[in-house]
Amino acid sequence: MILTPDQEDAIKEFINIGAGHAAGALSELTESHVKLSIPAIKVVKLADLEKEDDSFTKEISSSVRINFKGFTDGTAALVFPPASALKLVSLVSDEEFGTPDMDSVQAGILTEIGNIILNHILGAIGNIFQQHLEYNVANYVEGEIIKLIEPDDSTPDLVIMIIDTQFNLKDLEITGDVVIFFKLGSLTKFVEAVENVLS
Amino acid sequence: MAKILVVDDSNFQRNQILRAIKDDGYEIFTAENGKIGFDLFEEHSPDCILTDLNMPELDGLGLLKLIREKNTDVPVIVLSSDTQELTAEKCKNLGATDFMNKPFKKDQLKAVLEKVFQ
Repeated sequence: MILTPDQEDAIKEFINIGAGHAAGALSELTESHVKLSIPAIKVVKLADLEKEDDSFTKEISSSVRINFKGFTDGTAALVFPPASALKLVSLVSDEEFGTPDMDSVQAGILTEIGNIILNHILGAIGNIFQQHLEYNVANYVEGEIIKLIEPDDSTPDLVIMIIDTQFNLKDLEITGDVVIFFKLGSLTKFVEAVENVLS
Repeated sequence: MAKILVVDDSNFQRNQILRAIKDDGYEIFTAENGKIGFDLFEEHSPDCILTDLNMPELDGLGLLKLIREKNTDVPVIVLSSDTQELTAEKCKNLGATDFMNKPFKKDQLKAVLEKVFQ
């Protein structure tokens, strides 16, 4: 599915509203100014994911995932390169970590950070569309991006929305991506809701 | 001493809440999901409950329903990352005393509890 420039612009704006609220939340947690920007959004099919040049499509990532259902169904994930994830956890917990591997305590903290950020982004969408979304419990996933996809959804036609996300806090560049996997037919419903708001 | 039950599946969040109110003279019980939370509610009859919404086993809405079915008017404050207005409305309709978004400010939580125990 190809988004029109108006649709893409609107979606970017909706996500930006959520990102703004998420930045406020992250700022509370880290007690520092947080800038969260969304430079680009793209929509790809699972079959074409490997052609993407984002590092997260090929490398091991530290991710937090939430399944959502309502007027549109899918999975939203916050995907970090492991080094960025650890930096973020260090800032929130105010602790230095010596090893590059994430233990269960750190994974728990990242899960809660991801939960808050994803809830703010999905919450903004629900509020703008005045439609309720239900979420399941957030969980931590380490590995390749394919591990974020529910086995039942793993078809070549699965539509994935990739939202580049840049976090800037305490002068540290922390990069990540918000990725939304739409169940079959759900992106169409999502775009219809966008069109309703636009009209 | 007033008793507070804190129900949240995130250890990080439970600690944040504990850190915020530990010096305020409350007796605090914690649970990692609504099911354990309800067991502790029956065992200790807390004076106030702080609960998350999305949790395994039994979520916050389920816990709230069970508590209200017991015909108790114990204050239940929902602390959730969910920023949807409809979610807050749903909680209020089920009898939640207050709804706060995470992350919460320490002073904000203290103020809500002070209001509850006035």
